[in-house]
Amino acid sequence: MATICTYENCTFVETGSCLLNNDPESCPHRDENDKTDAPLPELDPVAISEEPKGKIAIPDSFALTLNQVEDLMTRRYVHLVGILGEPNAGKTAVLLSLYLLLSRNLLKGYSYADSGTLMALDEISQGARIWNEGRLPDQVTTHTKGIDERTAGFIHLRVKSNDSAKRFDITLPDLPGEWTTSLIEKNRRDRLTFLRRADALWIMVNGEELSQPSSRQVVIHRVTLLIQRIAEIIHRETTLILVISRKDRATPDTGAIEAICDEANRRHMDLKVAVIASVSEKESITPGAGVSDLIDLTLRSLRNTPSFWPLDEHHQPEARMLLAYRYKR
Amino acid sequence: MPKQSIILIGGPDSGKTNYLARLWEDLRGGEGKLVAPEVPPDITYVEDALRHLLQGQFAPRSDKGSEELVVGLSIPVVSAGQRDDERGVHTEIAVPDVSGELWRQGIHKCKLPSQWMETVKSSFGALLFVRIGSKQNKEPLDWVTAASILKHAPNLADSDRPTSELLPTGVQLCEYLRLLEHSLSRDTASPRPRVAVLVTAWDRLDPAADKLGPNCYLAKEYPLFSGRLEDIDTIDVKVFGVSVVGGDFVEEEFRTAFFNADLRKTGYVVHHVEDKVEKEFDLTLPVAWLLESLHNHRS
Repeated sequence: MATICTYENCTFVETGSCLLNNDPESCPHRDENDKTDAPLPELDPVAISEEPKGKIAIPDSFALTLNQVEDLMTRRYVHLVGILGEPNAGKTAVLLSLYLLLSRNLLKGYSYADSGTLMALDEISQGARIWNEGRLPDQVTTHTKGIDERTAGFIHLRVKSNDSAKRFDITLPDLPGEWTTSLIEKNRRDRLTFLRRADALWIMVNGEELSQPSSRQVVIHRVTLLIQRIAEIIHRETTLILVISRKDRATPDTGAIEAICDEANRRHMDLKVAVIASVSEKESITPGAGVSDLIDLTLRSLRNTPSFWPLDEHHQPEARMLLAYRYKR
Repeated sequence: MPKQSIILIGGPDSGKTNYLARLWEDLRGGEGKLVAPEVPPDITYVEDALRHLLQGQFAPRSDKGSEELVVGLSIPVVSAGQRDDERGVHTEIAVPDVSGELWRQGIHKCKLPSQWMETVKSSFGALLFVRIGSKQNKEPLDWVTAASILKHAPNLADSDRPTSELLPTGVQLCEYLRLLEHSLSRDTASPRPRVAVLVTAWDRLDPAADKLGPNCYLAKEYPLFSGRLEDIDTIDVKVFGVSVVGGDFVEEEFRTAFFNADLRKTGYVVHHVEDKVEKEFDLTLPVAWLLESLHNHRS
C-alpha cells in the first residue's frame, strides 16, 4: 500500500522505497492523515479465474494497461500523450469529443483508422468512465478484473492525416483529476512515472474557472504549481500544451494565459496553448471547436524529430563524434 | 474433397439468412460466376428460407436462443467457366448460419462458444453483413447526448448510469472485423483471409447514393468502419451492395411484379471495379471473390 511520507526528501512517492529502509506499514514518518489511498478492494479469485464452461475469451477492446501500451510500442511507433488536470478541467470531455468527432468524420484534417480500445471509448460515451472522486466505476471494474484500481487506463487511437495520408498511433490516459491534485499538493508521482516517456503532455484547465474573477487567481496559482511539479518529471523533448476548455462558456483571459506561460518560460519550458470546446452550449461556437488544432499541435512537433546527429559547436575536430555529443541545454 | 468454411457474421436483422437463401438459388441456377453442379443431400435450412422469399416475404429472424451452429448450406461449387472442365477445381463450401443476436452478445462480452471459435478459426473467409434501414442499427454518439453525459454523469450513482447493450453500428462492425482479424485461419498453408462486406437492402437507397457505390455509403454512414477498412492490412476486404430480390415486399407494386418475375432475375450486387461502380445480377459474386484467394493460392 503506497503511503505519503512526512520525512523530508523521502523518495517513497517516486520509487516505492523508503529512504530509511523502514517498512511502510510501521514507518514513524508515515502521514496518518493521508486520505488518498482507500484500501484495495478484496478481489474474489474465483470470480476472476472462472471461465464460463464452453466459452472462449477473445481479446477485448477495453482500456489498455501501461503494459499493453508497451506491448503495442514493440510493434509500431506509438505516441504517448499524457493528460493532467484537476477534477472538472475537461479531461474526459476531450476524449469524448475526440471519439464523437471521429465517429462522424468531423475532425478536421484527420480520419479514423483504428483503435484497440473502441469499447472503452464507447464506455466513456455512456458516462461509465467519468471518475467519481477517484473511484473506478463498477462498470469498468467488471471488465478489468484483477487490475489495480489505481492503474491508469489508456485509450488508443490510430488516425490518418488527410493531407499527407500518414498514420499516427496515439495513446491517451484516462486519469482521475484527483491524481493531478495529489501531484500538486503532495508531489505524489508514483502513479505518473509513465509521463517521463510522454511525447506530449496536455495540461487541462477549466476555461470557465480561469475567467471568473472569484476563481481566476486560484486556477493560475494551481496551474503554475502543477507546471513546477511537471518540470521535475518530464523529459525535455516532451511537447507541452496548455489546453483551456469551455471555450463556449468563457473567453480565455490573455493575462491569465501569459502568467501561466511565464511560469513555464522561467523553467525553460516551451508551453503551447490550445483553446477548446469539447461540447458547446453556444450556437456561435461549434462543438468540438479547437480539438483538431489540439491534435495538430500534438502531432506536429512529433513530426519534427530532432536530427540524430545534432551539430555541436563545441565539437573538437579530433574528438570522436559520439563521445563529444553534448545534450544541448 | 476437403470442406472449406465461410463464416456469416453480422448483428440481428442484418440480412444473413435471406442472402443465404438467395445465394443458394443462384448457385443452383448455374448462371452466376459460381455454380453448384449438384444438389447437396440436405437443403432443409436453406429451402425453408427460400420458401419465404418465393411467397413474397423476407425470412424471419433466426432463432435467438440456440447457441448451436446450424449448417445453413454445405455445397460443392465450381467456377462457371470450369464447370465442364475435368480439371475444374471443386470446392465444398460450408456456410453455418448463426443468430445475429448471439454474434452481438459475443462481441459485447468478448466471449464466444468454443464451437463457433473453432469454426471461425478454420474458415478462410467471411461475409460481414450490415443492413440499410434496419431498426437494429444505432447511430454514433451525438452532441446532445455527449453534453448530457458530461453534465449528469458525475452525479449519477453507478447503478443509475445508462448502460446500453446496443453498441453504435459502426462500433459493432469494427468489433466484428477485429474478431475476424484475430481469428480467421492464417497459417502458412492458407491464403490471406478475405472478408466480403455485404451492405444489404441496397435497393432502399436513393439513386444518387446508389450511383456512388457501397464504399461511399460506408464512408458516409459509418466513418469508423470505413476508416478501418482502409487501414487494415492483415486481411483483404471488399465491399458489396446487395439486394436480395431488388425491392421491398411491403410495397404492393413491387410484390406483384415480383410474383410475375423469375426469381433468378430479381436481386443484384453492386461493387466497385477500378474507378467504376458496377451492378451485376449475380448473387454469387461475393462468395466467388472469397474463393478466388483459395484458388489462386492453390495454383
